[in-house]
Amino acid sequence: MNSVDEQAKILGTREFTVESWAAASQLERARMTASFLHQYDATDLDRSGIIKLLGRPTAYYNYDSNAAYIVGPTTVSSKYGDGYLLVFETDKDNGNVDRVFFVPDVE
Amino acid sequence: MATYSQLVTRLSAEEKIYLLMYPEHASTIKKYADKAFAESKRRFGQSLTNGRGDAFRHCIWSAMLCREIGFVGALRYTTAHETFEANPPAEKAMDLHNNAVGLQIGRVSAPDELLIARSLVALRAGQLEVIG
Repeated sequence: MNSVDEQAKILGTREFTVESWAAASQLERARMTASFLHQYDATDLDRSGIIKLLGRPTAYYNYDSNAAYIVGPTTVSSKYGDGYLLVFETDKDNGNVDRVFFVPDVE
Repeated sequence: MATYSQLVTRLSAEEKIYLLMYPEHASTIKKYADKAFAESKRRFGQSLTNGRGDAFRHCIWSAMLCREIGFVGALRYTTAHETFEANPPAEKAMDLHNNAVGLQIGRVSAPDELLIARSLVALRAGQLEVIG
Protein backbone atom coordinates (compact mmCIF):
# COMPACT_ATOMS: atom_id res chain seq x y z
CA MET A 1 0.00 0.00 0.00
CA ASN A 2 1.29 3.47 -0.89
CA SER A 3 1.73 6.11 1.81
CA VAL A 4 -1.00 8.72 2.12
CA ASP A 5 1.32 11.25 0.44
CA GLU A 6 1.83 8.97 -2.53
CA GLN A 7 -1.88 8.28 -2.74
CA ALA A 8 -2.62 12.01 -2.63
CA LYS A 9 -0.25 12.66 -5.52
CA ILE A 10 -2.31 10.31 -7.66
CA LEU A 11 -5.26 12.67 -7.18
CA GLY A 12 -3.46 15.75 -8.46
CA THR A 13 -1.00 18.53 -7.79
CA ARG A 14 -3.06 21.68 -7.47
CA GLU A 15 -1.64 24.07 -4.87
CA PHE A 16 -3.46 24.16 -1.55
CA THR A 17 -4.45 27.39 0.09
CA VAL A 18 -7.08 27.82 2.77
CA GLU A 19 -9.06 30.09 0.48
CA SER A 20 -8.93 27.86 -2.57
CA TRP A 21 -9.86 24.79 -0.51
CA ALA A 22 -12.84 26.62 0.99
CA ALA A 23 -14.13 27.54 -2.45
CA ALA A 24 -13.35 24.24 -4.14
CA SER A 25 -15.64 21.42 -5.11
CA GLN A 26 -15.21 17.92 -3.73
CA LEU A 27 -13.38 16.99 -6.93
CA GLU A 28 -11.03 19.98 -6.79
CA ARG A 29 -10.28 19.38 -3.13
CA ALA A 30 -8.93 15.96 -4.01
CA ARG A 31 -6.39 17.63 -6.31
CA MET A 32 -5.14 19.78 -3.42
CA THR A 33 -4.60 17.04 -0.89
CA ALA A 34 -1.01 16.33 -1.92
CA SER A 35 -0.11 20.00 -1.65
CA PHE A 36 -1.81 20.24 1.73
CA LEU A 37 0.05 17.21 3.07
CA HIS A 38 3.30 18.62 1.68
CA GLN A 39 2.77 22.01 3.34
CA TYR A 40 1.55 20.73 6.70
CA ASP A 41 2.55 17.83 8.90
CA ALA A 42 -0.93 16.90 10.07
CA THR A 43 0.48 14.98 13.02
CA ASP A 44 1.67 18.33 14.40
CA LEU A 45 -1.94 19.50 14.47
CA ASP A 46 -4.99 18.74 16.54
CA ARG A 47 -8.58 18.56 15.31
CA SER A 48 -9.17 22.29 15.74
CA GLY A 49 -5.99 23.01 13.80
CA ILE A 50 -7.22 20.87 10.94
CA ILE A 51 -10.60 22.62 11.00
CA LYS A 52 -8.93 26.03 10.89
CA LEU A 53 -7.23 25.01 7.66
CA LEU A 54 -9.84 22.81 6.00
CA GLY A 55 -13.09 24.06 7.49
CA ARG A 56 -15.90 22.09 8.98
CA PRO A 57 -15.59 18.34 8.36
CA THR A 58 -17.82 17.09 5.57
CA ALA A 59 -17.97 13.49 6.68
CA TYR A 60 -17.82 11.22 9.68
CA TYR A 61 -15.36 8.45 10.51
CA ASN A 62 -16.25 6.36 13.55
CA TYR A 63 -15.93 9.18 16.10
CA ASP A 64 -16.78 12.88 16.13
CA SER A 65 -13.23 13.52 17.28
CA ASN A 66 -11.87 12.49 13.86
CA ALA A 67 -12.00 15.25 11.25
CA ALA A 68 -12.94 13.73 7.90
CA TYR A 69 -13.51 15.20 4.45
CA ILE A 70 -15.03 13.68 1.35
CA VAL A 71 -12.90 14.45 -1.71
CA GLY A 72 -12.64 13.25 -5.28
CA PRO A 73 -15.03 11.63 -7.71
CA THR A 74 -18.37 10.33 -6.58
CA THR A 75 -17.78 7.24 -8.65
CA VAL A 76 -15.63 6.00 -5.76
CA SER A 77 -17.70 4.76 -2.89
CA SER A 78 -17.43 3.33 0.60
CA LYS A 79 -19.85 2.97 3.47
CA TYR A 80 -18.78 6.47 4.53
CA GLY A 81 -19.94 8.18 1.38
CA ASP A 82 -19.37 8.81 -2.31
CA GLY A 83 -15.76 9.87 -2.87
CA TYR A 84 -12.54 9.30 -0.99
CA LEU A 85 -12.71 9.96 2.74
CA LEU A 86 -9.64 11.89 3.90
CA VAL A 87 -9.41 11.04 7.58
CA PHE A 88 -7.42 12.82 10.29
CA GLU A 89 -7.63 10.32 13.09
CA THR A 90 -7.02 11.82 16.49
CA ASP A 91 -5.80 10.48 19.79
CA LYS A 92 -8.63 11.08 22.24
CA ASP A 93 -6.22 11.41 25.14
CA ASN A 94 -4.36 14.42 23.77
CA GLY A 95 -6.45 15.53 20.79
CA ASN A 96 -3.53 15.32 18.36
CA VAL A 97 -3.84 13.86 14.89
CA ASP A 98 -1.86 10.65 14.90
CA ARG A 99 -2.78 9.18 11.52
CA VAL A 100 -3.92 10.46 8.13
CA PHE A 101 -5.36 8.14 5.50
CA PHE A 102 -7.85 7.74 2.68
CA VAL A 103 -10.85 5.42 2.71
CA PRO A 104 -10.78 3.59 0.40
CA ASP A 105 -7.10 3.61 -0.56
CA VAL A 106 -6.32 5.66 -3.65
CA GLU A 107 -4.88 3.32 -6.23
CA MET B 1 -14.90 -0.39 8.66
CA ALA B 2 -12.47 -0.83 11.51
CA THR B 3 -12.80 -3.87 13.70
CA TYR B 4 -13.70 -3.36 17.33
CA SER B 5 -10.17 -4.26 18.41
CA GLN B 6 -8.93 -1.43 16.22
CA LEU B 7 -11.52 0.91 17.64
CA VAL B 8 -10.56 0.02 21.20
CA THR B 9 -7.18 1.63 20.69
CA ARG B 10 -9.00 4.89 19.85
CA LEU B 11 -11.30 4.96 22.83
CA SER B 12 -11.22 7.56 25.56
CA ALA B 13 -9.87 6.53 28.93
CA GLU B 14 -13.41 6.56 30.31
CA GLU B 15 -14.63 4.22 27.59
CA LYS B 16 -11.76 1.82 28.21
CA ILE B 17 -12.60 1.73 31.90
CA TYR B 18 -16.24 0.96 31.09
CA LEU B 19 -15.32 -1.86 28.75
CA LEU B 20 -12.91 -3.34 31.26
CA MET B 21 -15.84 -3.53 33.67
CA TYR B 22 -18.37 -4.73 31.11
CA PRO B 23 -16.52 -6.44 28.25
CA GLU B 24 -19.68 -8.30 27.28
CA HIS B 25 -21.18 -4.99 26.14
CA ALA B 26 -18.45 -4.33 23.57
CA SER B 27 -19.99 -6.12 20.61
CA THR B 28 -23.42 -4.60 21.30
CA ILE B 29 -21.98 -1.10 21.50
CA LYS B 30 -20.16 -1.59 18.21
CA LYS B 31 -23.13 -3.20 16.49
CA TYR B 32 -25.48 -0.34 17.31
CA ALA B 33 -22.88 2.34 16.60
CA ASP B 34 -22.63 0.89 13.09
CA LYS B 35 -26.40 0.69 12.75
CA ALA B 36 -26.85 4.26 13.95
CA PHE B 37 -24.28 5.47 11.44
CA ALA B 38 -25.87 3.57 8.57
CA GLU B 39 -29.38 4.79 9.40
CA SER B 40 -28.21 8.39 9.72
CA LYS B 41 -26.28 8.27 6.48
CA ARG B 42 -29.27 6.78 4.68
CA ARG B 43 -31.53 9.60 5.85
CA PHE B 44 -29.19 12.57 6.01
CA GLY B 45 -26.35 11.84 3.60
CA GLN B 46 -22.71 12.02 4.52
CA SER B 47 -22.69 15.31 6.43
CA LEU B 48 -22.86 13.79 9.87
CA THR B 49 -20.96 16.24 12.06
CA ASN B 50 -22.91 18.62 14.26
CA GLY B 51 -25.91 18.79 11.96
CA ARG B 52 -29.26 17.05 11.98
CA GLY B 53 -27.76 13.75 10.92
CA ASP B 54 -25.31 13.87 13.81
CA ALA B 55 -28.07 14.68 16.29
CA PHE B 56 -30.19 11.85 14.96
CA ARG B 57 -27.26 9.40 15.05
CA HIS B 58 -26.52 10.12 18.70
CA CYS B 59 -30.20 9.84 19.57
CA ILE B 60 -30.84 6.48 17.93
CA TRP B 61 -27.55 4.99 19.12
CA SER B 62 -28.41 5.92 22.70
CA ALA B 63 -31.97 4.65 22.33
CA MET B 64 -30.90 1.26 21.00
CA LEU B 65 -28.11 0.94 23.56
CA CYS B 66 -30.52 1.77 26.35
CA ARG B 67 -32.82 -1.02 25.25
CA GLU B 68 -29.94 -3.49 24.91
CA ILE B 69 -27.74 -2.83 27.96
CA GLY B 70 -30.08 -0.82 30.17
CA PHE B 71 -30.44 2.85 31.00
CA VAL B 72 -27.55 3.06 33.46
CA GLY B 73 -25.07 1.23 31.27
CA ALA B 74 -26.04 3.22 28.19
CA LEU B 75 -25.86 6.48 30.10
CA ARG B 76 -22.43 5.65 31.46
CA TYR B 77 -21.00 4.51 28.13
CA THR B 78 -22.42 7.28 25.96
CA THR B 79 -21.21 9.85 28.49
CA ALA B 80 -17.78 8.22 28.60
CA HIS B 81 -17.75 8.39 24.80
CA GLU B 82 -17.89 12.19 24.99
CA THR B 83 -15.50 12.56 27.90
CA PHE B 84 -12.10 13.49 26.57
CA GLU B 85 -10.00 16.62 26.86
CA ALA B 86 -10.09 17.65 23.21
CA ASN B 87 -13.86 17.46 22.79
CA PRO B 88 -15.09 21.01 22.06
CA PRO B 89 -17.53 22.03 24.85
CA ALA B 90 -20.35 23.05 22.51
CA GLU B 91 -20.14 19.78 20.59
CA LYS B 92 -19.97 17.77 23.79
CA ALA B 93 -23.04 19.55 25.16
CA MET B 94 -24.94 18.91 21.95
CA ASP B 95 -24.03 15.24 21.90
CA LEU B 96 -24.86 14.70 25.57
CA HIS B 97 -28.23 16.39 25.11
CA ASN B 98 -29.12 14.24 22.10
CA ASN B 99 -27.90 11.13 23.91
CA ALA B 100 -30.18 12.01 26.83
CA VAL B 101 -33.20 12.29 24.52
CA GLY B 102 -32.30 8.93 23.00
CA LEU B 103 -31.91 7.31 26.40
CA GLN B 104 -35.45 8.33 27.29
CA ILE B 105 -36.76 7.01 23.98
CA GLY B 106 -34.97 3.70 24.57
CA ARG B 107 -36.43 3.13 28.02
CA VAL B 108 -39.31 1.23 26.45
CA SER B 109 -38.63 -2.12 24.85
CA ALA B 110 -39.36 -1.57 21.18
CA PRO B 111 -37.90 -2.71 17.85
CA ASP B 112 -35.24 -0.64 16.12
CA GLU B 113 -37.73 0.74 13.62
CA LEU B 114 -39.91 2.20 16.34
CA LEU B 115 -36.96 3.73 18.21
CA ILE B 116 -35.77 5.25 14.95
CA ALA B 117 -39.23 6.62 14.20
CA ARG B 118 -39.49 8.16 17.66
CA SER B 119 -36.05 9.71 17.24
CA LEU B 120 -37.15 11.24 13.95
CA VAL B 121 -40.21 12.67 15.66
CA ALA B 122 -37.96 14.16 18.36
CA LEU B 123 -35.74 15.71 15.70
CA ARG B 124 -38.67 17.20 13.79
CA ALA B 125 -40.21 18.47 17.02
CA GLY B 126 -37.03 20.40 17.79
CA GLN B 127 -36.16 18.29 20.81
CA LEU B 128 -32.68 17.49 19.49
CA GLU B 129 -29.90 20.06 19.51
CA VAL B 130 -28.02 21.02 16.38
CA ILE B 131 -25.08 23.39 16.09
CA GLY B 132 -23.28 24.81 13.08
